[in-house]
Amino acid sequence: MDFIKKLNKAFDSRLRLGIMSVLAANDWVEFSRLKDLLDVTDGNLASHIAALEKINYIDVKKQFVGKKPQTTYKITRAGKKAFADHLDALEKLIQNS
Amino acid sequence: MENYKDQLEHLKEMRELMNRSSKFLSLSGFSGIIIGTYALIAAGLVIYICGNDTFDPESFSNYLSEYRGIQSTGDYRPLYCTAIAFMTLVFSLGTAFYFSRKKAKKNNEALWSPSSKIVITQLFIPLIVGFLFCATMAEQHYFKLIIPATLIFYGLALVNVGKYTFDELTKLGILEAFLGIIATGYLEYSIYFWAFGFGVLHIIYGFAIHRKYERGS
Repeated sequence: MDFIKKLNKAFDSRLRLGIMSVLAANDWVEFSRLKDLLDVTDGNLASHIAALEKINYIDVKKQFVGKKPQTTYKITRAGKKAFADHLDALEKLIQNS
Repeated sequence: MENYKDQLEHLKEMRELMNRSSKFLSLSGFSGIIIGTYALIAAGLVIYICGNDTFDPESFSNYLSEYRGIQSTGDYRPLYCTAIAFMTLVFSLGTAFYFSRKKAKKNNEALWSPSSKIVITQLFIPLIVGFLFCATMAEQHYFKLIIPATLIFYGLALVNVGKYTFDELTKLGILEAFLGIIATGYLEYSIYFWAFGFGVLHIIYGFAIHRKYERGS
């Protein structure tokens, strides 16, 4: 079952898939917006974001808006490719079963 | 196969997330139906107030351009028509806002989100340009093309936001703009084109969106 091997281990968790989906469909997205959309806790979201950031699938930008710190995220080129490949693999998996 | 079911579920969820995060989906079908009704009432009032003048662009613009001081002729009809147009606009925006807020609340989403901001700016850019253009035409006493121009600019505004909300709005926008262009060829009937575009089409599309996205929810 070759195509199963192609499924990306980095996307094992459905929360990570969720993060990638939102970032794939949007430009820069704020942390709070991701949290609202995915309906998760700060800590949970932060740890999965950190993991995706570590393997360079997403870019992080920290800035101040007025006096408030704001963190926004964007999918990287590598992340986009990995996500697309993962979706392809999923599609094949579904077609073959 | 458990895995297969799981993955299918994930795919569905991802698709839903992509849509929800990048599109403004709180537009309500009901507001389309109600706004269309306002437009039909407004068009009816204008036809009633202006009588045959509306259907003959020459006499309509003649009497409008003669008025200089409305007082002198005692003819308040242009004023009434402008007031009707503004009230229709205000009521329509209010209705769209009210129903969107209701729908957003029901779906547990923020009305003021990045996607709604994009929709509002992208909608208002062509609308404001169109408004200024119509105001200039009115100022120059060139009234003939105002009604078709409202259809054209509104259509372009809808085309502009189609990709940030329901796809149907793109099609509706194309129809409205096209209707505006046809109306330029039949100026004496332009109020009827307007009533069809802003009234009937809104009602049809309101029903379509309600049926497709809101039924059973």
